[in-house]
Amino acid sequence: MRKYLTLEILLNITLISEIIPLIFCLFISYKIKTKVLKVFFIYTVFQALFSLLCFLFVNVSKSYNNYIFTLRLHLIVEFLIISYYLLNVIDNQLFKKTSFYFLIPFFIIYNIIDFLINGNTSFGNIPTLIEFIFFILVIIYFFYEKMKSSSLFPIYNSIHFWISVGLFVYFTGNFFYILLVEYSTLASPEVKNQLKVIYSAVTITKNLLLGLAFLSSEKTDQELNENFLNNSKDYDSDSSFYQNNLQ
Amino acid sequence: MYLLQADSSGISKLMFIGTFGMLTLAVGIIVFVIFHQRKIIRYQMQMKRFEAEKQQILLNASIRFQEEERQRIAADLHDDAGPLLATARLYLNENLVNQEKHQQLQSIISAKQIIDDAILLIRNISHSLMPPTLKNFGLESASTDLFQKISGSGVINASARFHDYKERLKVEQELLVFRIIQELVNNILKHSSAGFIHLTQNITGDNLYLRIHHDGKGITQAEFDRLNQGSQGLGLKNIASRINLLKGNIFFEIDPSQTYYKITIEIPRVNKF
Repeated sequence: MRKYLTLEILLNITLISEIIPLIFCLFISYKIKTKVLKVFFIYTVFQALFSLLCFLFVNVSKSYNNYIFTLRLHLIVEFLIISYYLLNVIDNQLFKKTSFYFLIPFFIIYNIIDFLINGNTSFGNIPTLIEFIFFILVIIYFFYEKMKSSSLFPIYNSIHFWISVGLFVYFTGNFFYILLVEYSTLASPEVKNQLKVIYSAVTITKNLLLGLAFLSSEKTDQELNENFLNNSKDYDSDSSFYQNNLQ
Repeated sequence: MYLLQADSSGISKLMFIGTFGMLTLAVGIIVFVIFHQRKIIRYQMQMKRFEAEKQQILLNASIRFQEEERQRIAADLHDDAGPLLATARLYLNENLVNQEKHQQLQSIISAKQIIDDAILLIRNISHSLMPPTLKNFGLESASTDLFQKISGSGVINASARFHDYKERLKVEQELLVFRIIQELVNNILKHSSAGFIHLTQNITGDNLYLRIHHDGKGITQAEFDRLNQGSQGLGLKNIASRINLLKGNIFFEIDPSQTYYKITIEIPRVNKF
């Protein structure tokens, strides 16, 4: 009984932890200048609202159908927002266009068909698995691009990097949870609990990383170059002297 | 299929191994990305520092060259023009009016002669700063003129041939190119004991190419880079700094038959200057 209660508390903490990124976003809102970060801010608001709804449906109204419908809606909206965010932080146009014209419509259509077939009675894990695989691949590609880039700016000082790390940990850590969730009915209560613990740990880690991402001190390449040139100021001023002498 | 047959402990094991594997993989990828990028940044910073140091050496060389040039001009003016004008002044002193008529005439003629010499000297200094042929007729005429003068000395066979120089470079670009040619030719005359020097010009794409061939003892690209990095070789540093200003390239090569050396100057014709 006590173990069950602890688990319930952990799950509620997990739900509440979805507010962490929103809190950080609100406190460090001066850093949200770009369109992509504004989209991320919308995501944090959405996650907070979703958690609240889930909490209400599960703990207060105990409405299973509404809960399933909210999950479906959450999946599509989350997919769209994170897709928009991740596809904007990567540079490869071909990758962006392919995702935008093929994968995103496919995902939405698949979900609509799944909803028409199953309604609100059940919620399969395949759409979520597609989402996870897609995002894992996009994030790996984002890391690959960052590794290739000739920027002097350390990747660990970037907000986008830590957001991607948070999402990456979440998608990889929960992959097997989502994959095996359908078999959890066959499993013993102990395995079910273990599944929930893993899910909670990974989700809380993700939310902490998404929130802490805003603490990174992002600098542009231009600022870094200015710093570098200031260190070799003599060279800079003298070269203009020589150039001017020729004119 | 395995999943359907698996019991609860099997699912539990699979889930733990899978999740642990995925998380390890994720952390591994993240750590690898961070360390790899740090390595790249360190390398790029080092390259930038090297580049800045190289630029600094070139700049010091060009400033030193300018100072030497100024000192030379100052010495020419002080040692040659100064005494000439002082002598002329002596001829034209106050006692001139008290002298005999023929002595007066003699003094004036001498003073005129000295002033003419001074004018010639100043003109030579001025021409050494900016050759009039280069300014008025362009790089082709100035180079041909230079090579004809060298050939005229009878010591070495020198020739210049411009194949495609209808459109002139900017005056300041031409001056830089001419100074590079002068410096290279000077070096060849001083150090190589060459029997011939041959300059050719042509255009390929957006670049203008000047090639100097000679059969003396020359240097290769590696030697040029080495001399350029060191504290010696002011002339070569000046060449490198002028090439830099032109946003061009210079290549020092030896013919595979080892009979002659080739220096190629590549200058972009598009207006990057």
